[in-house]
Amino acid sequence: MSAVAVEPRESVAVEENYLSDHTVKSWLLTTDHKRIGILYLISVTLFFLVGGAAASMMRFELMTPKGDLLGSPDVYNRLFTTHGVVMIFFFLVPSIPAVLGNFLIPLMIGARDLAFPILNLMSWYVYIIGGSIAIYILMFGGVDTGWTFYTPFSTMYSNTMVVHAAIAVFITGFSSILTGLNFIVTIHTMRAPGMSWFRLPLFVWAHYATSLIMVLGTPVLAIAVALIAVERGFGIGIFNPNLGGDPVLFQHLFWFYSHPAVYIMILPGMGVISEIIPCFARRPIFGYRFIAASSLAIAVIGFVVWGHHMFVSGQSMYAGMVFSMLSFLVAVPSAIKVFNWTSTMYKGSIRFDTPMLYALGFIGLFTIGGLTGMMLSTLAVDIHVHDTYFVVAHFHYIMVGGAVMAYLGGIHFWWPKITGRMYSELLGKLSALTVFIGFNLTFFPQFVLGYLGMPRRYFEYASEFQVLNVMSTAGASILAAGYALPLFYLLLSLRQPPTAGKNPWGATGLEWQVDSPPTTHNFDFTPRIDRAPYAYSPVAIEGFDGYSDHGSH
Amino acid sequence: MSLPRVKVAGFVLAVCGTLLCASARAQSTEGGSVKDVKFEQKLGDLVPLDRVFRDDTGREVPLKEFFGRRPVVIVPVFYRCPLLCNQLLNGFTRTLKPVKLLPGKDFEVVIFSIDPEENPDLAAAKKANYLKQYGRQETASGWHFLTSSQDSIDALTKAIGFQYTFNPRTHLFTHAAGVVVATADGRIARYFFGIDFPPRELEEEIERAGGGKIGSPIGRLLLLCYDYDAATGKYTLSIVRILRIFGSATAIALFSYLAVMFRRDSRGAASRATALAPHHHP
Repeated sequence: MSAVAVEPRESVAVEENYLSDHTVKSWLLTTDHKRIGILYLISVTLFFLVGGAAASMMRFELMTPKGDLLGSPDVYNRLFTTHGVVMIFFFLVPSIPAVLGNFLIPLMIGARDLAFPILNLMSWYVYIIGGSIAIYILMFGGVDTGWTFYTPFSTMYSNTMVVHAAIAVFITGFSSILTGLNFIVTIHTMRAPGMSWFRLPLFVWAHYATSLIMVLGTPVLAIAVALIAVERGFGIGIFNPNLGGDPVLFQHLFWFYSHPAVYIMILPGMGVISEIIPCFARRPIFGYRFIAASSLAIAVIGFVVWGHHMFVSGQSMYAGMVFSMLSFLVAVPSAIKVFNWTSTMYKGSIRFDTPMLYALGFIGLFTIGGLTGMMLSTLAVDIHVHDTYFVVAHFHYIMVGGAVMAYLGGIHFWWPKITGRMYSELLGKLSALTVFIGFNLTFFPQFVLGYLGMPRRYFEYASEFQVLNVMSTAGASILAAGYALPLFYLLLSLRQPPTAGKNPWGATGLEWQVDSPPTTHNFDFTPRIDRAPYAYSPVAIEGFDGYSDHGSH
Repeated sequence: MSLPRVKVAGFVLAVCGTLLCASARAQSTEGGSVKDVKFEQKLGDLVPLDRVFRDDTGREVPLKEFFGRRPVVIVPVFYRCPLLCNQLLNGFTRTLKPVKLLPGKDFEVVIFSIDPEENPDLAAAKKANYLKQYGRQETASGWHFLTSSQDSIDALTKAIGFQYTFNPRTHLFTHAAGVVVATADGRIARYFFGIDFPPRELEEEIERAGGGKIGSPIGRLLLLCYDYDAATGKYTLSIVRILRIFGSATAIALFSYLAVMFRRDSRGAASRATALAPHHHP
């Protein structure tokens, strides 16, 4: 690490890097993991805007107790379905793995690319095909089943484009299966000499666990939605009791994937946080092995808790109790991570740069989301708040407060590596604060609303709920501004020359030893690893050239 | 949908009816509770072919005499039964009328009494009665109304999963209603519960049992993916079972790959450890 360049290079513009070739063809036919990461970055950002637009319209409708803005509940139903399907299948699931994971895993393990570069590109095309169908549905009718596609509504009653949506989700699922397979094989076979399992960055561990879930869980989702299409299209009895089917079977199949899917969304986020916290606390990560093992524990236990979504579905009380206990159990590895991150910061020289602000936001919001999850996995409490805004608030704290905060933290952390540019630190901090405040104002009132009994998925509500709903909508506006800010200043940063240097944060990972942006082949030589990760010390390490440019806390 | 409802309703009615005829007062203690009355499906099990029963002429014959050539429909009853068994035998006879297959030619009917005190005379009277109802006297050789000792009765009822209780006060049995289709080699192929059966299905099932499908390993393998569907009354593709098979296959494939990779890893690490002298980091 002594060879890290201190001076930002003047001649970077002529230096060949992975961004040098500007033709459209070079992008669409690329097999470079970094370029595919960028392709995903652009695509998931577009889908985030679509899903966000749907959410904004719902929030505006909910300003008043009467359904006055959208005119009909059908439109509202389509909006929340669009929001859910787009945000989960087209934004959250691919966000961190397909953008940051694709970009960083080979760099972090000292490889030139993923194990199957063409498969990697294929996964993006598969994603785009699924996504195109989703956009088509959006423009020509929509779906009103909710992202959960519950039967018998989806197979017998809904008059919307359920089969199209099933096809879109089916196809997109293969994109994440391909990504997962690629990561597993890459992490097993492509590690540089000396990069033993316990020298891997925790980001890689998290992605390894995520990939296992993707490969094992996603086929089940694919089957579940395919069976819906089969029952709707051909009248074969699978879920419809009139045809000898079982509607609860669908819930089992759906949640067998969709609960682990929550961990597909949050585990990579935890990986990001495990990179950011030690860097900005200038401390080695506390309990490395525990964090690594807890990722695997979450992946494993996450597969046996799906029944907690079905406490009121008529499953047996015994099953309910077992699922309840297991759901409490899955909180243990998550708590281990939170405790280890906070322990890492203990006696650290903490700096509050943008990525760190996002990471701290993550810890707080994820903790609230996780603890309310414990309330929901308590059988009796769940029966009270089932299908209310309490549940909506809970999972938004996990998925938005957790996964999206981590994603943005990761984007801000690695933006200098990805593009070679620094962004405005002031605007960055402003965005992190705005998102944090806006998020809490949006979703905390929803806990109260749900506890008071406001059901989810209605476009009208009793007038006593209005104050809290107006708060929530106001928060959503602030949140939207918080999300718009990075779009603005990150794109603006691209107008500057790439002067970020190899290692603006003084981080220890292998990815910080290569150029920013990296060359096409990542490493000029095969790196050899002879130390554990996160060898941070409170004193700025040699070659560290970032801090002096940024304001101190 | 309507079909199984009728069946279930018939079954419930049948059990209740028997309970009534077994006297409500006695049921809880001496009669045993309704919990002990069951008709459990023992598909693929063998009936006790060596057990000896008396036919309606009083001749003692082992059960296997009725098996071997054709599939057999077994009906557990007792002849003194005032209500349910009559309903059952009436329903069964009514079902057989439109069926093209004939007793004695295409299959055998074995009706046996669960009461060891009943004698062949009573059985013969019942046979005459139901043959008359059925209206095809030429099939008499295919109808067997049996009686036997407690031992043989126990063996057969246990094999077909037929659990009943005896009420000493009323001298009546509390039992469920249904018929069992067995293959020619004595394996149980299918249950029909209630007192009224769909003729077409009974016919199909007898034909299937005649092919000995249950006995063949291929049929057994196929049955892995099929479940008896209570709603349609047929064996249909079991989505759940297929999903389990493919799901397990996926998991096994993934974890085998991981196992191989981890083994290779640990071997590689060992060889690297010896090959890799302390290396200066460039």
